[in-house]
Amino acid sequence: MTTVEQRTGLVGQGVDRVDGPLKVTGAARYPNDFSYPDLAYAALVRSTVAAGRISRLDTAAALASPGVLAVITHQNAPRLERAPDSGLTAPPPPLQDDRITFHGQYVAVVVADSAEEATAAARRVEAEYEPAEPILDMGDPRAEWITDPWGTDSSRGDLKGALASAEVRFEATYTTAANSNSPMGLFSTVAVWDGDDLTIHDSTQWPSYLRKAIAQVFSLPEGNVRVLCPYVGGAFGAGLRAWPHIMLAALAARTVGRPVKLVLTRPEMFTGVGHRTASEQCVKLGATRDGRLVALAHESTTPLQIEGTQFEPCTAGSASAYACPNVITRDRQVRLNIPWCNFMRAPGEAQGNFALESAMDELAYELGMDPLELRLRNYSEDNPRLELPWSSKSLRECYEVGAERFGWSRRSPEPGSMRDGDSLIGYGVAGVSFFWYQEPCEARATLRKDGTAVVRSAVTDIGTGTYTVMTQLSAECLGLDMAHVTFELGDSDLPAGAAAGGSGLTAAVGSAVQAACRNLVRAFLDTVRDDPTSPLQGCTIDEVSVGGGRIHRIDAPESGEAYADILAAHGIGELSADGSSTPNDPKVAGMAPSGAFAARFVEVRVDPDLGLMQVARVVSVVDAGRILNEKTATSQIMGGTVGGIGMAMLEEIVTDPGTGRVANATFGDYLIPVNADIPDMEVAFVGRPDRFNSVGVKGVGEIGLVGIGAAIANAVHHATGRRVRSLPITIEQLF
Amino acid sequence: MRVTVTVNGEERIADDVWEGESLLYVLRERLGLPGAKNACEQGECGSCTVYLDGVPVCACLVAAGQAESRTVVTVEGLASDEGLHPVQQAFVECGAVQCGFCTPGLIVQTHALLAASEGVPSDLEIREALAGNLCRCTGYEKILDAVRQAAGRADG
Amino acid sequence: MDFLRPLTWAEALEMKAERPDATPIQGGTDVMVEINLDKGRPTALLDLAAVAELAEWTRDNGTVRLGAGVSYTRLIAELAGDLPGLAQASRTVGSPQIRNRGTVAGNLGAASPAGDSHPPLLATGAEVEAESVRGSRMIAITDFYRGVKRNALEPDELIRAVRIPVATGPQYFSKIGTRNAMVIAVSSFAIAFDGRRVGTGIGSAAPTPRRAPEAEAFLESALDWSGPLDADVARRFGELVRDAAAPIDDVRGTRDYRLHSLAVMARRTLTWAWEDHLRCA
Repeated sequence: MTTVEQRTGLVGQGVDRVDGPLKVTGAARYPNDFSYPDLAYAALVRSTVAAGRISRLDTAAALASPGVLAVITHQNAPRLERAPDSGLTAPPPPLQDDRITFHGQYVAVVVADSAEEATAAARRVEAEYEPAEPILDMGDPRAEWITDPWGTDSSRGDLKGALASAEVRFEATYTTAANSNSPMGLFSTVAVWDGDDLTIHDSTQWPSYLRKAIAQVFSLPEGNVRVLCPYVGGAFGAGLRAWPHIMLAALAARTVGRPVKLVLTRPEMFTGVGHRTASEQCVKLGATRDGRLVALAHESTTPLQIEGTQFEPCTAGSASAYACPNVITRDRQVRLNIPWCNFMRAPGEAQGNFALESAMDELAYELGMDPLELRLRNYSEDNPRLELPWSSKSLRECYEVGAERFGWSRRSPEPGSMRDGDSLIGYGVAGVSFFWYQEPCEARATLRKDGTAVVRSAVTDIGTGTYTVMTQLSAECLGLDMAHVTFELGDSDLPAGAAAGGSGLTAAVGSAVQAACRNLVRAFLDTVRDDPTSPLQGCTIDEVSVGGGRIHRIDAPESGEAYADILAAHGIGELSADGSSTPNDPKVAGMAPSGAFAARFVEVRVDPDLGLMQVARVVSVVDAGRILNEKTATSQIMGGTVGGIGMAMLEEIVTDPGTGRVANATFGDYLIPVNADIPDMEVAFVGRPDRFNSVGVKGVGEIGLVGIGAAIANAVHHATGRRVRSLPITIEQLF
Repeated sequence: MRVTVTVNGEERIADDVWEGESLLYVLRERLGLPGAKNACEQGECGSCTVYLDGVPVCACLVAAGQAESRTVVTVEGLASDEGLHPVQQAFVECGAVQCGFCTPGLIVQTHALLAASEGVPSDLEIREALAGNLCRCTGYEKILDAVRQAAGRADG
Repeated sequence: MDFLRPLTWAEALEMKAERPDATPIQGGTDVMVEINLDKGRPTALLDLAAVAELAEWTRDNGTVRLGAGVSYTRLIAELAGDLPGLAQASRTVGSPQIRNRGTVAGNLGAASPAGDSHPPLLATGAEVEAESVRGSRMIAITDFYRGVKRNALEPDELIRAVRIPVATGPQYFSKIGTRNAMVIAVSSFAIAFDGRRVGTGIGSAAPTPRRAPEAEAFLESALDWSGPLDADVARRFGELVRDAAAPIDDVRGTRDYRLHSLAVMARRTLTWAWEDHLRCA
């Protein structure tokens, strides 16, 4: 594909975050930082049973409580429509009937003059329930099972035969705990009505969808709704749904005729904005004595909210991770009375990779082979499921560079054989083949008469760096200094944007931005097409390049004209152009779309007397195609790595067995890693630009988390001889 | 009740303050200073760190009435007319900022660490000083880089 | 809710006598959590922060009188030499921001079995100085803890100070947490040598913090105070400490792990203390 990009070297550089100065001074406005005159506050009442019906709901005391403006329950809430599908069926609108399907479901919203008054009144709402026996365990015979929920199961070759005849067989079951996204920012909604127009400040990752959802729930024209989210305090997937609390804030504001702020409490974050599901997985491997995989079966079962939907393919990645002729992958879901399961950084992959890459390590021990060598021996040069060449793959280089930097050759194979004083040392490795994902996206580029540009798309920057990398890319595509380009996002009135999810945003919005910028240059060429005074008269897009705030002829770089001069010469205030992107089709492109690849090397140190484990070092080598900003990309990998350490060592949502109540829904009880838990981390990028999208990128938002769990578990085995097949690995398992 | 408090050098008055209200709520919802963030409301995350009479504290755990007649400095009060404070500049340059929600608390806590340090703090001292500031995005490593840089360490 | 703001100790005692329902607040690190998370609202807050004398400590006759308002940060900075075990424990409390506000007296008021101050207070035989308008009394630390989050204070009493003997021998504190900072103890243990007397304190492993009297008595009789530590003695000491505990399974840890870790911590802290003892002897 031809582009007009001038390779200024701007893209790729680790330039500072453009939103940095606002964030370090406290000036960046997050959803709950917004205030309005006459602002009222909402507080939620949640169910205290996991299943059944509300038998009595008395709001008299709450209504009589000081400062209270309204109490809304299913008894007085207006009928709300269900939001449209987002690819998955949306959560049902709140307060529409008396049924309870999980502990923590909203049964009322209280609106008052202050947050304190709303909270106090919420305690006075008297709710009684006719409880039913909740289904909380995947082994409960009453639970409904869904097989192949998304049509992602795969099968090739003759698994059964290959397993039966394999020289070496291995089989094990792995489990992972439910995890909480727990972004630092409490999810918050500020809703402001002006007649039938609604403005919403929200912690969403997908303003274009959320606008559609709100409009449908309240039966409004989409144009009446504006969703604003210029800054979001993290989300990690939690912001990909149109959650009921958002609708309650809007409903509350409409009911009391005032702007309303609803800030979820930290405990409400554990039940109200989704979580990563637990998983139970079985992996069967068959191999030749010299370490060639002949059979691979990966089956997974994950819980699902009883009326919920979730895309959590734990096994799909195993179908293409290794060159193996006989493969079966299967996913199942089991409906339970638990809070909504939802996307959390690397959904499915985080759990599935732990099982597969632990099993590969175990197989390596069965074979007496170096675990790294086993992975290289079964390297998939082409995508074995699609039988197409990868659009890019440098996983081999990831392993090689990683092994070198980590010092893998220092590893002595025998478990428990490496010590430093009283500490046992273990080395572990895991490979990662992340999935590919991309959505349609639109953007608009505008050049103003002062020669500056603004490029816009209704996407979000949840901390990923979208503001910065899109400013870099826009500047490069238009031949401007970064200082002369502004990228605007976080506003549903902008051109429809893709979700910040599935590690697909940068490819989607980047391609749209590229197209918009290219179309903008075209628009300038159109403007001067018949202008005899312009050195660009009659030029086509392929005959020009950009740089220094001007368009010039490729064959005669001195012949060109500045954007500002063209606008001035033609009396135009500003010129805009739209661009859009849609995902490529693998069959048309003749290649299998690659996600990012990575090799993770981990060193752990274990105090064997107390079972205390410390991750000492992590080396991550990642093939993410073209890196737009070395600094932000490295941050994504490091942050993901620490998320992976949390999943591997700390994070587990604990649910009371009898009641379905989340028992550890605070930051004092659900522990995420702190500064002092952090190992020495090294990140390197290898590979070439990907061929599947015009920007050449593969997203880095999620892969940083994947592989850490397995690499740590493998290192623990190497250190102690103990094989831990469940995450998190707790001190109890190691003493 | 009424609470009078000097914030970022200016005397501010908040009326109708509830007796159980935190200093954090007063700053954010009554005084128009949302820089300090509320993320856990139990002192577990450090996002709301502000100076109270020169000492960094979690504003969520200070009862508003306890701030009466005292002096508070928030993240909004650290930059000067000349620009960012060196700590703020270092956080930007080192890539220590992602979603930015934990950043205000970290900036204040780092500011306090460097103000109190005689000489240049070691990595262990930095980690201890920042132990109470949770971050879910960065993985902390670049925050450490930023503190080293702001402290003028050669490896910063 | 009322907000009571005494400026003197006498005034504080009068207010507490009038309003025994008032919850004292100093650093706020426990009280405000309860309010913020809406676990209950006190009818009144009694803010002791302005009572200047509470923020002082004195040393007299081999005892430190630690005012109820002295923060952990100041304790660590000013009293690590006099109260090494308590200072070590203080360093593991929460975060710097919490230590800037939190106090030992607050830890006692909350009386959580997991409070970090309790094991060294037990090991050193501290006393709680409780006062009301009716007068002042000393409560032995072993009598102070009455149950999970319950203590021996009368409704009209406030903690004026904690009296802790100045260390005459080695003291150590050890704590297990599932992460490396900002963590509530899974289990904790403190040891203190005072001449040839041995003190112990166990945290997070029973409904209340407690000593391990049999382990103390064993050690006092079994130790040969001049020679190297007998490994069997250390191991037996660990077992006796373990046997003194009565932990449960909860979200932070299992009963079995708590018992095991206490034995290990007791052995290790004894070993450290013994090395100090021999070095000083």
